[in-house]
Amino acid sequence: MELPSFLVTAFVAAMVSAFGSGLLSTFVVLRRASFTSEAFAHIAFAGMAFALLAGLPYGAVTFLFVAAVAFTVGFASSRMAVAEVNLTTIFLAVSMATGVLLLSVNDGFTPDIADYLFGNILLVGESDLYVLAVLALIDLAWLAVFFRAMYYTAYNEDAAGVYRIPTRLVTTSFLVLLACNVVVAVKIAGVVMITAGLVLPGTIALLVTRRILAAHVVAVLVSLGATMGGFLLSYTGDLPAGPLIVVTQFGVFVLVLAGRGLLRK
Amino acid sequence: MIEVRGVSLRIGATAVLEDVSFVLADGDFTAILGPNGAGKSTLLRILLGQIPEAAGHVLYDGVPARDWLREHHVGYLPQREVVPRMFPGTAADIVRLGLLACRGAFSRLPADSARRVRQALEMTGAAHLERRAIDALSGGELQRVLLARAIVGGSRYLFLDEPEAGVDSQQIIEFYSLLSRLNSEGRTILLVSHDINVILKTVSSVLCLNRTLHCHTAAELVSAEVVQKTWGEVLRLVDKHF
Repeated sequence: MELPSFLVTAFVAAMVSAFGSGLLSTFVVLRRASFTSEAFAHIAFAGMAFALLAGLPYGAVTFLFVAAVAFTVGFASSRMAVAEVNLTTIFLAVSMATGVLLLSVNDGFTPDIADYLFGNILLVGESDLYVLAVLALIDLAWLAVFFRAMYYTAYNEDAAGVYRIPTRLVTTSFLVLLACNVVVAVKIAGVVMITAGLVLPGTIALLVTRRILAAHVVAVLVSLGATMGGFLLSYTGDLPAGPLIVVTQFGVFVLVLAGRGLLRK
Repeated sequence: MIEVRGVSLRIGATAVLEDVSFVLADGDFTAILGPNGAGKSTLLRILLGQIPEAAGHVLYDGVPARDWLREHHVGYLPQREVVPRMFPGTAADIVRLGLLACRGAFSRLPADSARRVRQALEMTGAAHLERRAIDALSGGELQRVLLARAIVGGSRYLFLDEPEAGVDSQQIIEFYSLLSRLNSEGRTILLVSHDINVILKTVSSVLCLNRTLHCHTAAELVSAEVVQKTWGEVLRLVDKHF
C-alpha cells in the first residue's frame, strides 16, 4: 500500500522535530525551563500577528521575534535584577496582549493563525522539512559543544560561574535554541502541545536513568517512539496525530511511574 | 598574593562593606571572623569576581581579579550549595567541575581525570562516595565532596565559606586538620567561620570584619577588645587558648 506523499512528509517532519525536542528535553527539565518553553510558544503569537498585519512571512518574523525575546531574557535578566521567570512572564503577557491588539486592528479572525496556534502536521511542506533538519543538526552541534557547561549550569549556576563556566553564554544560547525549536515545532504541534514534547521525554528519561548522557539517549528514543506510535494510532484510528503523540508520551510516563512504584515494592 | 584595596559595596542605602583593604601573602591561612550580616560571604564573592558592581580593587599576583580569573580559578567551597532533587550525577561528576575549571569550560578533560578525581576524594576522606548519587549525600558528606572539587584543579588559592556547616564536631576537627595539611603543602587559604574556638587554634591570621575591617592580625594576637569591637557586646573572648 502506497502512502500519500504529504503523509510521508508529515511523518518525517514529525520524527525530525521529535528528535530535536528529545535532544533538548533533558536540559529543559533539569533547568526547570518547562514554563519558559510554554511561554515562548505563546510569545510567538505577537510575532505572528505583527507579520500578518504587515504582510510579512510570519515564519521568519516569529522566529526573529521569539529569538530576540529569548536573548533578552537570557542576557538581561541577571543584569536587570529581574528573575528570569518573571521577565519571561512579563514578555508572555505583553506578547499575548499585543497579539490580540494587532489582530483586532485586522479584520476578522484568520484561519492561518488558528493553524499556527493549534498546529497541523499535514500542512508541513518540504521547505519546513529542511528547516527542521537544519535545526536538529544545530541542536546536536550545540549539545556537542555545550554539554558539560550546560550540565553544570543546570546543576548550580553560582557554582558553575565560580568554576569558570560562562553561565550567561550557556543560558542565553540555550534559551535562543529553545525558542527556535518552539517556533519551528509550533507549526506541527501547536502552542498547546509543544511543551509536552519538550518536557515529557526528559522527565521520563530522568525517571529511567540517573546518568546524564543515558538520559539524553532515552529522551530522544521516547520522543521518537511516541511520535511513531502516535502516528500509527492516528493512521489506524483516523484521529489527529498531534494530540495522539502527546497522549502516547503521557502513557509512557504513567507506565514508567507505575514500573518504578512496582520496583520499589 | 592577593591585594584588596578599598573594597566597598552598597546595596541601595545600605553599606554592606566599607573601604576594606588587606593583603594575603602566599601561604597564608587566614580566617574572616565577624557576626551575621558583617559582609564576610559577600567579601569572598567579591574576591571571586561574582559581584562586579563592588567598588575598589582586587589584585591576584598584581593582576586585576577580572583578568586573572579569566585564566585561573580559585578553589571555592560555598556556604550552602543547593543540590537539585533528583539531579542525575555522582559525587565524582561534581568534583570533575573543579578539573574543568583549570582547563576551560569547553576543553576536554585531562586523560587522567578519573585518577585525579579519586585522589581528591581520598584526600578529603570521601573516596567511598565517588559513585554515590549527589542528592543522596548528607550535609557532611557533601562538604567533603565540595572540598574535593575545590582542590582537584590544583588552584593555589582556596576560599571556604563556613565549611563546618552541617558537619559534626568530630568531622570539624578532621576537616580543619585537612585544611592545615593543604596549607602546609603551599595553598593559600581564606575561610569564613563563626567557630572562633577552632579558628584561633588553626589559622595563622585573622580578619575581623563587621562591614569594615576591625583588625588584620596574627591569630594569637586577637584580643578581647577587638572581638568586642567586631561583635559588639554580644560576644566575649573568654579563653582563646582553651
